[in-house]
Amino acid sequence: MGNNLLLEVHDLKTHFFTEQGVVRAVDGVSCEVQRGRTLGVVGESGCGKTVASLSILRLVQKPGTIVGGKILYHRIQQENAVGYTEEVVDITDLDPYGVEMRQIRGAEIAMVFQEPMTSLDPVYTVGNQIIEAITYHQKMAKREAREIAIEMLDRVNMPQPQQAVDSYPHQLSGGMRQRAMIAMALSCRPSLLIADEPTTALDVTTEAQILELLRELQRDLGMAIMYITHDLGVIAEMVEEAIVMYLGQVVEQADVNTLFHDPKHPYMQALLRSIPKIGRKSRARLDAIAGMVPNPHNIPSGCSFHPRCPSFMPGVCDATAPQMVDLGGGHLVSCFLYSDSRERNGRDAGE
Amino acid sequence: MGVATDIGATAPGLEAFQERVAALSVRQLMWLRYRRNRLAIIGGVFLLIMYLSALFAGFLAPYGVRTTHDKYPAASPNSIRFLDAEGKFHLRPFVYGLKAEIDPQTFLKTYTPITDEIYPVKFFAKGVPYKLLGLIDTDIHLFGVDEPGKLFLLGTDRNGRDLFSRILYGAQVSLSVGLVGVMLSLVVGSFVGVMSGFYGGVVDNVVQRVIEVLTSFPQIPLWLALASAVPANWSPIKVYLGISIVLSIVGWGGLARQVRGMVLSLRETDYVMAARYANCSDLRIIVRHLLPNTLSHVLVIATMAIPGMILGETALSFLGLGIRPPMTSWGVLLSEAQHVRVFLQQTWLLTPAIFVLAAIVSFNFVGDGARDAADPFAAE
Amino acid sequence: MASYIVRRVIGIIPTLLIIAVVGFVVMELPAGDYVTRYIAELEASGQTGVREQAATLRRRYNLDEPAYLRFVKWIGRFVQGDFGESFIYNKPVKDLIGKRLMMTLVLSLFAFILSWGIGIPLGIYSATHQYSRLDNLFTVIAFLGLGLPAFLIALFLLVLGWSVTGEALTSLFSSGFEMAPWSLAKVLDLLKHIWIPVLAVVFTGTAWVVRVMRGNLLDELRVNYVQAARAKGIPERVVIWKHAVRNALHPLVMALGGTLAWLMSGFPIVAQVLSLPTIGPLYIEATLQQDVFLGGTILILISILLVVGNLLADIALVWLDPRIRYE
Repeated sequence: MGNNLLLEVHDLKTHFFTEQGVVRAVDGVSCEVQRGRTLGVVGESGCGKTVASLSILRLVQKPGTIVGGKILYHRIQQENAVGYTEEVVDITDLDPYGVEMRQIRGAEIAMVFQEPMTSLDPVYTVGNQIIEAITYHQKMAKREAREIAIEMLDRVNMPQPQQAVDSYPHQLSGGMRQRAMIAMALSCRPSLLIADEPTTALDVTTEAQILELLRELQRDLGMAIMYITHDLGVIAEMVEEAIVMYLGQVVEQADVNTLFHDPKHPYMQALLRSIPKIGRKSRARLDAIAGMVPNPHNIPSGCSFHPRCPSFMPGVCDATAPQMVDLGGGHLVSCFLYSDSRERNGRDAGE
Repeated sequence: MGVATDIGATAPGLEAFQERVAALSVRQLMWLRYRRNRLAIIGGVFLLIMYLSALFAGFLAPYGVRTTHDKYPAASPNSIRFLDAEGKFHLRPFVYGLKAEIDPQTFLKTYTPITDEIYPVKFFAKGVPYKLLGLIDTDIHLFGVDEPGKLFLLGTDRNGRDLFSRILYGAQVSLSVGLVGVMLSLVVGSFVGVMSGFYGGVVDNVVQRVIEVLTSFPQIPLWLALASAVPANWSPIKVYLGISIVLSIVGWGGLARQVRGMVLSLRETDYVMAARYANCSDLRIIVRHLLPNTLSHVLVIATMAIPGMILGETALSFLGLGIRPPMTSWGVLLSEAQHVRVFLQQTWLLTPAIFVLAAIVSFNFVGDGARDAADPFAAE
Repeated sequence: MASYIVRRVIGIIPTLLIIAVVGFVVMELPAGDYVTRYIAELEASGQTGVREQAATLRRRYNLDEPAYLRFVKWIGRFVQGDFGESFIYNKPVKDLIGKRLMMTLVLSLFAFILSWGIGIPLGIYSATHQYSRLDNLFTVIAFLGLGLPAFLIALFLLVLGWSVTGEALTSLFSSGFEMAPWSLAKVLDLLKHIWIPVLAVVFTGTAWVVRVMRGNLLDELRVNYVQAARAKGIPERVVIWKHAVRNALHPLVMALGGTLAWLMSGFPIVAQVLSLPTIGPLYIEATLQQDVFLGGTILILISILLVVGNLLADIALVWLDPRIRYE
């Protein structure tokens, strides 16, 4: 196989400089997205997953800014008989308002947001907003763009696309609005779709439909998806590989099977334990994680999870930040529980 | 050892961490929020100074409110100096004596300082007797000069009355009328707003109509019309109350509307419904649940209405329809210029306007800060 | 949308009716007393022809008829432009108001357009360049503008103008030019005078528009769909103007009625201070001397203007925001 790498994120750091201090929303995140595959980003609210995705599209607004790391986007220039030529674009180097970045946004990397209720401009029709996206990236007449818009709406299973295209957002239900958003995002055939909790605001039935739709579209269009959510059930269903984030950092990374059957990081283990399981005794208490997510202005020293960690080791976990340990097979953990063994292994091997 | 929370999970390091991060009460949050707004602090300080000055007007003013200096009508400010004509520095500030002359062309009195006559400024000087805080008879003023020296910090009006002293006394009226008016608006507006929002139906409709009509009339012209209905032969105190009522008549409508809106949205909240199911009486629901939650917002709205009232009183008095002499307010002081052209020649007579501005702007800053603080959970 | 407009138009009728009633109660009824007194004075003075005069007055003001009938007749007269007679000037109110009303409308409209014309761009700039030097400057100026009552600004400007030109720049023309035929000199003279009232009135209005626009736009720029629009890759300029500004105008238009109210309200005193030939000074004189017909008529006319203005603002709002159309 050739190089299937679509997007590389290396040690991304996005900080917010507020009056009360610096909020390190994303503090050293690295991951990779393969062409045509799905990467999941799991974490509670406030862990920085949204800011990370916004950073990829250079949409982070003041007072936030990317202070470190690299984001590399691999663009296919042309396919010919021999193969294809690839161009690597350093997104962190581009001007966020410049033509190059805007060319990528919408046409090559697109995003679907969390709240369909408020993600569409209420004073313009759905069609107008989809056509806006299309005509900005491709030169074509309005009528042609309109045809494409209707076609996309049909693709996302919007009932009566001919009417929907002329409707205002408030005339559509939540599920329909989200479909419209997806149609808008896909109208230029991006190679990567970033979906930021697209179904959180929807009811369960609609959620199932949207998820189904996304899988279908991925198959048909061969695009990659970066799926951001806090819902473990969705992760299990939708993604092939996932990273787990806590307070701006990646704490564990693995393919979805390994992650669910053999989680190594205490946080991931606690997350899995907190899901109620069928067959448990009905009176048994739910296993919640102790404490609460700390205020982002007061991030704990050392490993940021240590105040809530059942395996807390005083003097170790609160002293320095843990390094990412490679457990083999693409499974990475950031935890002192495992750095010892690695050192031990390394020492044993070295002797 | 570690903290065992009652939900069955243990986290050894939790307690130590939590000790370092304290939680703040809502009030503390509000104060912190207010404090950060520098303009609001400056405004608050200014207002404090103004109100204290008004309270102690008698002490701070070199002369009484009615003290007339017959020989010095329309005198320009006779300022405090430290350096005399020979360049000598005096530690104790002083004023020059004034010589009155009549300008042969305009037939107006002009005043030139006599550099030989030096009247040192005395602190805690004896002057015109007055009642401190309206209770204690005394005649000690913060500063003053011995007769026949004159301390006209801001000049005199056409009757020879010291403007600075009158501004201080005028502050008592100007700064209080707004408060009284707002309090009236507050009481009436809150009551009506709560009733209207809580009970809805016919009551609500009628009230809404009334308020709508009331706000259809432009504010200042309505004030003018209502003020002209206050009989001219009432005593100054009655006029004062009458003007307060006039000012509040226009204000209560807007306040009632806001309160009604808040009550409407609060009425549907879960805790109000829970109170209903618990069979709480209407009164109890209103007093215990609705009022406290609307209180901070209502106070903010009230604070922001005060500048309008001060302006209203000033405008009314300026036109002759407000506070009647011998009661003094800043508007009355401005009206004594009689004609606009007088301001051009005796510019110092415009000083009360600056105080009006300072009061209004300070209240605006404070109101802005209060509004931000009242919602400590709002985004920046 | 048409049905909404019709409903709104019908909706203001009760308000207009109540204004009419209030006007009637305030003006006609006491005036009845006044006229009765006047007639009594006339009769006491023993002049000739008093009886006929008294009878004419009685008929004119329908003093012998019941209240509701007088109300209806009063409305009839009012609608036809018969506003009664001024006690001060002994002339029909209509004559006194006519030209001045026109002048008031012209100046108000001018001030309104200026306030918005300057205010909106400044507000947009302020919001998009938040905390920049210019934004802070505008914020300070806006605070001052909001805090300063228009007539005090007018006073200060008068003093300023006097210190610069040595003239008292009241009214629209210097004495001598008012009756003179139009010439370049007259136009220059007008310009010299007119900047004071315009600045005084527009200053506050603009300050308010800037603050509201800035606040609204700041709110809009934080809203999700603005971010979503950016994510499509369209230029920032389009995002701001096509999406954010269009939505930010919404609350501003809602407050259009408020601007009108404020204009009608603050203008009279400025006019009085500067001796402008508008309705303001006339109204103030009427209230001072309790000339009920003159004052009452002006108050009612202005109120009606306000109500109509608010109605127009509502209609504009509906056109601007499709969400309301389908209610």
